[in-house]
Amino acid sequence: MSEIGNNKQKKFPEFDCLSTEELIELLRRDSYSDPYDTTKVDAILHISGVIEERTRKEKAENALTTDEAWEKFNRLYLNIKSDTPLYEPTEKINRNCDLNIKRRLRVLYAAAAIALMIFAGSITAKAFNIDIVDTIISWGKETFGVSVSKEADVGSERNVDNEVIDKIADHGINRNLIPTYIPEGYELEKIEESMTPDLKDVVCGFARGDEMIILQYTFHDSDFFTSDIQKNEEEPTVYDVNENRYYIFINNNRFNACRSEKDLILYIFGVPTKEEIIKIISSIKE
Amino acid sequence: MVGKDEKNVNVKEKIFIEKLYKSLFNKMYYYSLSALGRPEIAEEAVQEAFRIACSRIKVLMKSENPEGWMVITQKNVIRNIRRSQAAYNNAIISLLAESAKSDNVFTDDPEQRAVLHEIAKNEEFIMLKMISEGYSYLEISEKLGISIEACKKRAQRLQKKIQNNYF
Repeated sequence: MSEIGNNKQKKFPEFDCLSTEELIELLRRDSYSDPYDTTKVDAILHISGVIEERTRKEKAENALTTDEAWEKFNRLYLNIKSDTPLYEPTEKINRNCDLNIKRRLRVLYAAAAIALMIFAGSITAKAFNIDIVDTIISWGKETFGVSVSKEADVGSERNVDNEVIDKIADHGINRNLIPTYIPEGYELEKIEESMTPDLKDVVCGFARGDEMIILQYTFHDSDFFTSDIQKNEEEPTVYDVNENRYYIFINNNRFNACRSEKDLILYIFGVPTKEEIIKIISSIKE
Repeated sequence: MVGKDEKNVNVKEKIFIEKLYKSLFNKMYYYSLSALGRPEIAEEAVQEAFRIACSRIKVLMKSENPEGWMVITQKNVIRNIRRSQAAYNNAIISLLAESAKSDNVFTDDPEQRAVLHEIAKNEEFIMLKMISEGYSYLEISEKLGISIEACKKRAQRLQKKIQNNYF
């Protein structure tokens, strides 16, 4: 049996000079990395300890003491007799939802629009005037192994009618941000627009039978906007196309992409193949 | 499982877990707070990690790095909390859209609509909304006047109800 504290905790003086906000951001990013990666455990504990020390000095009177937390643990949590964890992995739930959403075309894009409204209400302020998506990817390079491709040479294809582009542009979208290529057979079915005080979303649904490709433009006016995107286990890929950087990832066997700028995030969801999603993003001029 | 193991936890194991708890709680708390943003859910995440630790006390005590073991457990709890919130968000989205759209985009089935309306009216909807907004089970249980365990079971039953009747 190992004794607690026998693993002498390493010191990381390079973190001590960072601000508390920066340290919190490091921990937040780490919480998205591989949970079984043990290489950063010592650093994590060191950073947490620094935050604890600083917070204790600032807010001594309101802090929950360890003894109080231990008492609470014994009184409220230890004797929960459930055989399962409080928070269970939800793969089964997500899989069922996905299968049924494919059968109801109109659910998907309406859900996306409303989801952004909900997420906007719960955004926490995190940023240091840096590209959030870039920093998450750069932190995760060791675990994600993100690969950066050269500028994709896929040529330019155009099959989207001007009428379709006009309809999307009518919602305030720059025409040069609208793809001129959508995979064969997909037709624009609906455009949904939603707004909150800090956020505007335009969600465009292109349907082909039971399948749907979503084009989503999220305009925000906050430096602290963050957005969480779910991906499966595979590594995301960075693609630089037309002087823009896209992150391509897979979720539920579909290819998705996102691109982040100062006040806009562009998402593309539900594309069947990698080749097709590259064609789509290559057709976006700006 | 936790209950059974807890009865069999001997004095040495109790001392071990208490010592580990008191040495790590604050650090794990601030890690969770950085990840989840709210103090109450962050605290619950740590409590859950230690509850899991108690259920696997023998494995934990054999570990060469119990602190590392706890950090890994904590990260998994955080990941599951996020996924859980996202899953409940799906249900919330459906209910919000149903109530917001008069043209009944989602279903023409009167039985399904009845189920959705029934859920939206009562405390189950409140629970669902609170989970998706990042409240801890402890907070929800205090609001509804039930135990944490009962709260979790109700949430799971509700999730199943919506899936079976709507999806």
